[in-house]
Amino acid sequence: MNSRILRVTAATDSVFMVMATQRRSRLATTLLPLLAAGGGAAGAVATTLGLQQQEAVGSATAIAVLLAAFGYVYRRAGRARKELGVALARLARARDDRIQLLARTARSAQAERRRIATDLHDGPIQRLTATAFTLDLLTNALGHGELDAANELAFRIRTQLATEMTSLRRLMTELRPPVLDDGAELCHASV
Amino acid sequence: MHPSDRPTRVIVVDDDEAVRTVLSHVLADEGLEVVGVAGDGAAAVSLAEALRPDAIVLDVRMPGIGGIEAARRIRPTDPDVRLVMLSAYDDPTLQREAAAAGASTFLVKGCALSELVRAVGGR
Repeated sequence: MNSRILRVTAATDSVFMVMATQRRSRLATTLLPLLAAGGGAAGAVATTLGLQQQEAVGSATAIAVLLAAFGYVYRRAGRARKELGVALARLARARDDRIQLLARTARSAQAERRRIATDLHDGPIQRLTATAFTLDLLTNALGHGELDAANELAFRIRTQLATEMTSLRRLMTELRPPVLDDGAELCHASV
Repeated sequence: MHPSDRPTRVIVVDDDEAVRTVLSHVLADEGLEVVGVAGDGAAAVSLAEALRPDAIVLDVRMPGIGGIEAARRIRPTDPDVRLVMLSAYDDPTLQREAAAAGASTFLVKGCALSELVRAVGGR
């Protein structure tokens, strides 16, 4: 080949290889890209060629430029793929956390509902059952004309109802959502 | 009154002492003989075997063995005893479970006294 190397030029990763041709009589100077191991452009070699050789070299240069561009795009795609994988893993973790949080919240709500049902069964329902039966006793006492017994039963019923109202008031306080109190405090603070 | 002219013998089972006590008084006031009281299903099973009552009033929800499980254990040992479930829960599922366990009647707490007495077999 009738050529000589003029100089080697360092190139950046995203360098655009330019084929510069200087037409001087039958010779031309051509920049040839140097490919790095990963496919990117690492530099360029300038050569001076005859016109026929110049066309072959031009094709080779175009292919080399395409390869360099492909390498660059391939590396960027690989990096993007890794970043996407990391983001997807993070998203999956966040989704799992959210599902677990929802499950915990649901379990907690169910446990609270069971506790309230138990409290209602063991407290107000039982007391009111006893009160209802005591009223039956009062009815029987009145039916038999036993006024002293009826009076005592009426007093007992009054006491049972007062006790039950206290119990229900306590349950009502426990059931009041704290957020209402917080909201009230916020309202007071904003006035 | 029992057909043999003796008072109907009843066991009252409820984990709440106040209910147990007043229910016993009410049934006695209606002419029934309360022969025993129990606070849970296991005690009810033992009493039923020992006393052979005509009827047992059973609360459904109790600590340990509940009323339905107690009925399931009592029924094979005494096919004639009237098992009256008295529950705070007006729940068809519980009613079906109770019937499958051998309960004769399922009443909800707060029912009329006449209903309870009729179910127990007093009048």
